[in-house]
Amino acid sequence: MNLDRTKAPVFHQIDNINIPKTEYGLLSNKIPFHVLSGGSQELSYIALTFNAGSITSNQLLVASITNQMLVGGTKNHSASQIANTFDFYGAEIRTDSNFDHAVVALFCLNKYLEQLLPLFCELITESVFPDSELESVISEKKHKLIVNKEKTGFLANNAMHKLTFGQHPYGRRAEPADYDKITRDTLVGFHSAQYHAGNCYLLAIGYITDAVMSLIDKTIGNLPVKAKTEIQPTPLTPAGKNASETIRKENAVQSSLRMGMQTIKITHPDYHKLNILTTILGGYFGSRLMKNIREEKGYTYGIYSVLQPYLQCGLLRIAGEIKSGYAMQVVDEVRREMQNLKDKPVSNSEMELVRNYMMGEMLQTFDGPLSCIDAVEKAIDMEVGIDFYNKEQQAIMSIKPIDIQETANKYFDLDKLTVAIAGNE
Amino acid sequence: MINFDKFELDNGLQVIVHQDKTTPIAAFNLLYKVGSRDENPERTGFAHLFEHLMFEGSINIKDYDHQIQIAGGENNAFTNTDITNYYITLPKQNLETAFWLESDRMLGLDFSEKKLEIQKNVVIEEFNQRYLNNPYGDWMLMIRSLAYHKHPYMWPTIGKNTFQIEHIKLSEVEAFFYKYYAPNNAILVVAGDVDVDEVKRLANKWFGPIPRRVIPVRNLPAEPKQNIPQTLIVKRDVPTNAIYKAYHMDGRLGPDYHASNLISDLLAGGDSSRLIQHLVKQKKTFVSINAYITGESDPGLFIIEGKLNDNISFEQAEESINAELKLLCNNDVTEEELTKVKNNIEMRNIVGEVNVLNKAMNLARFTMLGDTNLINTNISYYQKVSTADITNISRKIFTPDNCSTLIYKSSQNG
Repeated sequence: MNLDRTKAPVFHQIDNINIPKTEYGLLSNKIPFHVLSGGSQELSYIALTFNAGSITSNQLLVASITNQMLVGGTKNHSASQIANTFDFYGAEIRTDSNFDHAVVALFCLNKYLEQLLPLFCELITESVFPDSELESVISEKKHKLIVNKEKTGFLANNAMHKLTFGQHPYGRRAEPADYDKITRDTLVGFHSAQYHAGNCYLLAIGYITDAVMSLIDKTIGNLPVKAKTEIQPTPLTPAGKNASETIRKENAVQSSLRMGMQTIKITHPDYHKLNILTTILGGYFGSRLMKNIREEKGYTYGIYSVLQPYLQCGLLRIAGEIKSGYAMQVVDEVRREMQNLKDKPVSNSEMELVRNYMMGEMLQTFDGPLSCIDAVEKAIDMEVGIDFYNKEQQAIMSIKPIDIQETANKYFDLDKLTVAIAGNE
Repeated sequence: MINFDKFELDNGLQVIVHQDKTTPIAAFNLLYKVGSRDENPERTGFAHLFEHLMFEGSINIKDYDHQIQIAGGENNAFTNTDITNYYITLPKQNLETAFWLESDRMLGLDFSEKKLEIQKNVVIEEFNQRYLNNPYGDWMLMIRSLAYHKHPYMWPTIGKNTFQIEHIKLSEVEAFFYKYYAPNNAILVVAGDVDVDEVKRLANKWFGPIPRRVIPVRNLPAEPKQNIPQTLIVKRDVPTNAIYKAYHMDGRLGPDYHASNLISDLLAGGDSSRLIQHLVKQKKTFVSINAYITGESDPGLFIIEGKLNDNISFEQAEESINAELKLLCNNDVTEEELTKVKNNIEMRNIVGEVNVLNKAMNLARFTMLGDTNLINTNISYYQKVSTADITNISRKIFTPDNCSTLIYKSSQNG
């Protein structure tokens, strides 16, 4: 048998990914729900997402600590009893908050939902924020922050956000001293205002049967409703022209580079194109930045670009850990790569590569209900719905090199790029 | 229950096929039985550097990553002390692309001085990023050399230092390839909505022609029993004091392995665990604490690591850990508490069966250990562990003579 190893086997383009549909409805107490059912293991991910992100509080850290303290004790159960119960059933409680939202989620085997959902509801209605628990949460988080402040990546990232968003909440970052200003009363007040049935939605993903939904309605569907507190978003201000900052850290053996740019919202019709453009720039291993900075120059282990959606805008973010002494050169290279994308259309072969890569990636994201939790949550949080991914798919399949170039010229405004470097430069 | 079929090619390549008809993705996992434990002590970090070079082109195919991406796939690899593992996920209809690419780099690599130089730089930046430019990042380097005196687990996979990596020569790289990258030193797992006969056909077509190679018999020095406590004190520019304790324990196939893993969960698996409840929440001795096992093939380490709260001395910190370990030795674990950690293992096991790549990796790892069906029976070893086992094995592991301690002092903390 003569095998020609220089020739690739025939491969097939994926041209259609089946994006699942979420079911939508209202629980008895009018909490909107989104359900995505499937999979063969009897597992459920049940999440309540509240409008309780950091933009909903004037004081730094209040939103994130309130969220984390939901497992810190209720009227009827101590923190250790709560932890013991969820751990005993092999279940997981996830709490997480960002600028726009805060989520509390239960991940467990369906057979234990009946035991665990009432306690899950108790976390939302009956949390009491005991002082001793608060003290250890604050101590742990403050310590983490102090350690993080030693990390060049953390410092550069914070500086980039400040440069990009200024005084807007998206640019605010806590300092260790901010932890000392947290009081129990503030958390109780924030919790009472934000964590109720009138201010959240439910997401259930996994093996969600009618029986599961009826259990959910009996428990979460009974959470008390209050009037929603409307929050006036702070208007965004543009970043200063070519804003940059270098944070000197003498003993650092690498420099962290973070670049940022305010850009369009996820609801903007060009968002998909910009996302594909960002992928070409630095979104996968074969990207322009990885080829240039890692594979040709060896200045980094990794450098990437990503388009991150927030409710009020998008953020184009570029990040890499760079060999000491080369960060400024890498900044120039990044700008050059962006300029190249404005000057010349990508080749057909690069277009095909990124198309196939992105379709493959999406196929993996939607490989079963549990693997797409993050993607579904993001689409609902950002108010575009899961149909976002059908549109993304259409854009990936139909985009042409000329569209990429046009998009680069429209949105790669290099004067608006902020640059933060932390290290021994 | 994970189904699988197994066959071996004439050249010694072991192939495992797992059918999962629910996924559009095929996973292709190729494990080479070589890790940093097989390295020359003067050339540590070699196996991992070599893994990087595997992506720099093979004899017939220049652009490995490009070919994966164009077929809609993703790929990566990792090296640890025991193995080097390469994996690909791609749309199931493009499975043959994976066979084509992986068989070509098993056949031979396109070595060059320039590629070696660039990847040395990349690996050194990886060393810097993960271990040196990261507060506390160097602790594992130190604790391994403290705990091991004979066995090559004394160095971490990244290597002892960056100097050894700088000195690696191209001739050594080539020799390493022909010594370890052979069909008779590898395990291939294909998982997904695939047909066993088709996988057989593809395996024979692409891997069949690759010749068997002579693999050196692994003959590693066993680590002698430690019989005196080991302590190392270092001062670093970090914000708070930290302590790391490492106890010798069984390897992956040792009789005490499963109980030891459950003990680490009793101590630090989840918020309700002992160390977190007692030492972080109640006594506030530590701001954070963790316990886990390295889970290596040869006898590994049981690690306890914690960051001390302000105003807590190292003596107080050690005493509080020792007191907790003593409780375990004094038989105070209840059936209920043991059931809790077993339930957790069961949940992790079920979640682990969702993802096709994860299943493929586990099948490869268990095959390497000598029994592919451990993927189904492994859980039963955990279920069998009794509270008496917990006591006995705690007594065996947690003795001062079996412990290496790294005292990590903050220079910022006076």
